[in-house]
Amino acid sequence: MNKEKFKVDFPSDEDIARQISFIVKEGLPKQETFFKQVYTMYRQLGFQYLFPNSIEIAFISILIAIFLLITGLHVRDYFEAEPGSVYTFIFVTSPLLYLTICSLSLYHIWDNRTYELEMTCKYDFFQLTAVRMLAFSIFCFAVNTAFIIAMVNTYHHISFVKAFLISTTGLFLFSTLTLFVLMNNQAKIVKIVLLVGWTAGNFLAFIWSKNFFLLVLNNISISVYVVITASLLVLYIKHLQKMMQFRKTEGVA
Amino acid sequence: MLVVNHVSKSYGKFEALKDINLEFSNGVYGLLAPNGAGKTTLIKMLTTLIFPSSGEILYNGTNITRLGEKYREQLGYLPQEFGYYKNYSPKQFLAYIGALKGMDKKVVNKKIDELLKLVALEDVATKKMKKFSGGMIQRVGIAQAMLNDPKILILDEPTAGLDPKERVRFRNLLSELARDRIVILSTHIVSDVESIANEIIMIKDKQVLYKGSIDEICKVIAGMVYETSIPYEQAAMFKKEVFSLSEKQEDGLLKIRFISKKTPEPTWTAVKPNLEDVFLYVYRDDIQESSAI
Repeated sequence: MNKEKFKVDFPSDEDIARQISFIVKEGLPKQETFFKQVYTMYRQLGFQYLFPNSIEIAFISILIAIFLLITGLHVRDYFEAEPGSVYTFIFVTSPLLYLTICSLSLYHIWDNRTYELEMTCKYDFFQLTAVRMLAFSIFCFAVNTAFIIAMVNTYHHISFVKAFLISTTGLFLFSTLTLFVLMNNQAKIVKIVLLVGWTAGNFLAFIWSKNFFLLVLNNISISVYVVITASLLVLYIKHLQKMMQFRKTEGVA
Repeated sequence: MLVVNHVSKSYGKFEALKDINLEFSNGVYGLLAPNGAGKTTLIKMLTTLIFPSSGEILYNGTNITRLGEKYREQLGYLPQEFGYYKNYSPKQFLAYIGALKGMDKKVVNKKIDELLKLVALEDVATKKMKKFSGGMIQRVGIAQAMLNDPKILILDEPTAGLDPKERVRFRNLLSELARDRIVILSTHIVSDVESIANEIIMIKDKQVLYKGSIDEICKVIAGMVYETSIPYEQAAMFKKEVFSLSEKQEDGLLKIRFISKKTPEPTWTAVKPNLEDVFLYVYRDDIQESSAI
């Protein structure tokens, strides 16, 4: 009997890998980059709805900026007697504005009980909070920089670069910690301790172990500050990205 | 179709819901149970506010947690405690919710006008909500839930704060809406669902006790509901023998509606059970359960 031999034309391993990758790429929903998502949300919601309490935020910001300027510029005797202490002041107060406006924004959601409703919308509470926190940190970064410029013009012994890096480190250290606490569903008390405790804790540390605090802040070299600041910035953006995806799940929808 | 498949929810050692199995297609579903029975827990799972400890919820065959925002785009939800921005007008608030729902601005503006007219708030559309009554706020809540023309409309205690006229209007509106969508109405007020629900779901002891049409559910106590009139002096003794559903004074006597499994006496008139009778019977407390019947 003459058996006909069938020859099956199997695809090569490379072909199989290419086809799998094509199917996965087409099948999975397209993932937008973090900044594209932020832009899309801004286009969709606009400034008015992203910051429903913008007037209060502006008012609080002005108050805090005035407080920082008055305090920073009117303790001249102390800063001149203890030249390093000005950096401590900059480090401790750097997240003050961020802390206040974030707390205000979250308080509004709690007070108005809109959390449940916002969680059932397309753009949910976590996505909104991620965009808001990004905007707040950029805004605070700008205000802090302006404050440092004012300080440098007043106290000529201050190095702008060092003050700028210390301030940015303080801001992003605090904001990364805030995001971590918010996203890990910690007890309310942990959130309150973080939000209120930062400033109080730093001031107490400054008073009780003044020399140690000054030593740490003043002896870290500029290059180390650059590395710390850059690392914190990356960590902060990664946490924001995670927050943006907090409720999303993977799969072919 | 929305399918709840062997869903349980626990908080630590406390089990809030146990092995819930339900199917929803277009129509009005009344989720009926006393406060604290687990209605809100189920509603929160259906709205993805919390996730089941075990089991899954599927919408058109896909897990709702996997669908994510695609599911939420199909969802309209009125929470039990409806939160709103007090300094916003209904128009501003609805525009805000429309934006969060990812709707087109032109579509939202058109829909807002329609909905505010529908819930009779067009005259106060631009007034700040901080001065609104409870009923007006609830109507804003109903309007926001319908803003995106949802395929699944979930309303948790929606008639709280509405006056009788508004309740009737609201029920009619839901009946109309339910023709081409799933409407789930969670309530402990029987009259809210009695006239409009295609199906009633009753939850007891963390599980679904009954799911069916009102007629099917009423069969549970068919042939056990009676009415009779007795002198007031006999009332206390009589109520020890039967499970009293309602009482009223009539011609100097006490007219009582009750449930009894005993052979009926000649003075008793058998009556057709209604949903409220079943509700009272099913959720009678343990003391009544041991003493009655």
